[in-house]
Amino acid sequence: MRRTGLIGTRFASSLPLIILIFLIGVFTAAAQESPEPVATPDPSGVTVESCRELTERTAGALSIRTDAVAPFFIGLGDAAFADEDYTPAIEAYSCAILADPTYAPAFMNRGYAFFAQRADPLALADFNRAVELDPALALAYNYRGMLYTVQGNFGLALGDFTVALTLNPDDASAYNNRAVVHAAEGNYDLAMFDIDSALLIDPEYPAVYATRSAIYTALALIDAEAYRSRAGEAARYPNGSPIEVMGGLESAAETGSFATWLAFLTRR
Amino acid sequence: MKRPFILIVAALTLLATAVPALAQDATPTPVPPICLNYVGQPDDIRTSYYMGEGLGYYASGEFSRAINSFTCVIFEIDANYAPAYMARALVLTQRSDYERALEDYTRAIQLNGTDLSGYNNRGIVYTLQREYDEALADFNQALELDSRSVVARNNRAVVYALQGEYELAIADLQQAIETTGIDAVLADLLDPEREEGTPPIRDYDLIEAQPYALLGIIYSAFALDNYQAYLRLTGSNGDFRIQSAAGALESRFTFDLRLDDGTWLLVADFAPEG
Repeated sequence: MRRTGLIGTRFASSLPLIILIFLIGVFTAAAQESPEPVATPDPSGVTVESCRELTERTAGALSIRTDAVAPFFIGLGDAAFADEDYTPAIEAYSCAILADPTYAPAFMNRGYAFFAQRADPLALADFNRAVELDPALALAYNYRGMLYTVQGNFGLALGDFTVALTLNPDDASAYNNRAVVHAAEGNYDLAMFDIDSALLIDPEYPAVYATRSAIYTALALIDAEAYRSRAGEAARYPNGSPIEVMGGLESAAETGSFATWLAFLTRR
Repeated sequence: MKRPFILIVAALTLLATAVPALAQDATPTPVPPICLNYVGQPDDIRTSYYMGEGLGYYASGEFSRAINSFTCVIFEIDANYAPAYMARALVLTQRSDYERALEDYTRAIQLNGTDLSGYNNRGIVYTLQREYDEALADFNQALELDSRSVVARNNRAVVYALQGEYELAIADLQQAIETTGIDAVLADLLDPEREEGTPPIRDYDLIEAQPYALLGIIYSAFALDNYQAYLRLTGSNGDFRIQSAAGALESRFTFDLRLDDGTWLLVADFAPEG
């Protein structure tokens, strides 16, 4: 109950900030120039010939002749990306861009592959181009938000996650990612609010539980510090530090013992 | 007393349900995969995406995932898209899942019966299953569709050879050589007057050379048959040189030159346009 109340209060007080960030995101997207079908300089150096060879190498291996259109190359790239083969993935996404320089998902996916390689400027350029070509491409904002988060640009990241959620309110990962930024900024109540939203959308999404677990750990450390500041520097924790309590709880989960909790009984 | 009886009944029930399951093919019944990418996009975009994804997975040796991608096309997008069946069948063949490969090829043939690749590639699966009559029927059909197909003619020659029909196999291979005109290229390369480093009289595909390799194998098989006939007639009094030559050839046919392992068969390309 206490956690929910706290979240509610903090959320209400942060609401204007959220609205402001949201509006910044929307206006930023709207201010982008209209998409132009100009060929973007290709950082991976693919050519029409190399893309044809890639098609022959892959489709030819299964004796299938296929139209080498952008979604085909994106499929090739995704398969390589799934194996964490980022360089071939980037090659395939670049071929998708070559096949259709106005196809936003190709830039978005290549941007994410660059991001995985921590080639941040290239990733950012691709994400920017993706949202320029398709301002309604929610996932591109989510990805760019991740890049901004890694770079510590929390304001821009929050803006992007918020735009992503406006465009696709069912994206549990965007809620999770925004929760991460809130947590990184110490706004745990806002973070928990986003975590709850993510779990409402997809209760089976594992990443959200990991994030919430980290937030609980952070909250545990805050309360441990609160205990020490009130009980005095010399005071011992009732049953060890939060980390030690966690170890005790882990054992208790195996044995069914409630002994860990007994040290916390008190009287005034 | 009641409890052991219940246990016995439970055990028998379990056994009764387990036995048919154990009798099934090692490959589990395919479950439709989850195909969430590009949901809401036009079918042609989704099809291209999953074909690309499947080929990408295949290239990295992830056969199960490749099969899932092609299955996404078939189950979710377009149940009449022949290339997805053809691609999935090729992967299934590589995994020795011949029954499912045959199903896919048969479906591809139903969808595009004028393309020889479905017949040719299904013929390969029949050959691998040692169902040579069915294989011959498919290679015949492929040659009906395109009598100039070196691929189908080579494959039919292999099956003829496996059936001991060496003359028919040789006739097919000679026909393949005649069809492509590769003998003229060879004659040029063997010309003693030919200047070294001169390019061949025309570009050619390596497949065009394959009939010569198969002819060599078949003549060797022929030779082995003759050696064995001699050794059968002479028994232990046979010439030791022939015994030695027959032993060496037999060994060759057990390893390098065996025709029944599918490695000499040629897969035909499949193009959506036919």
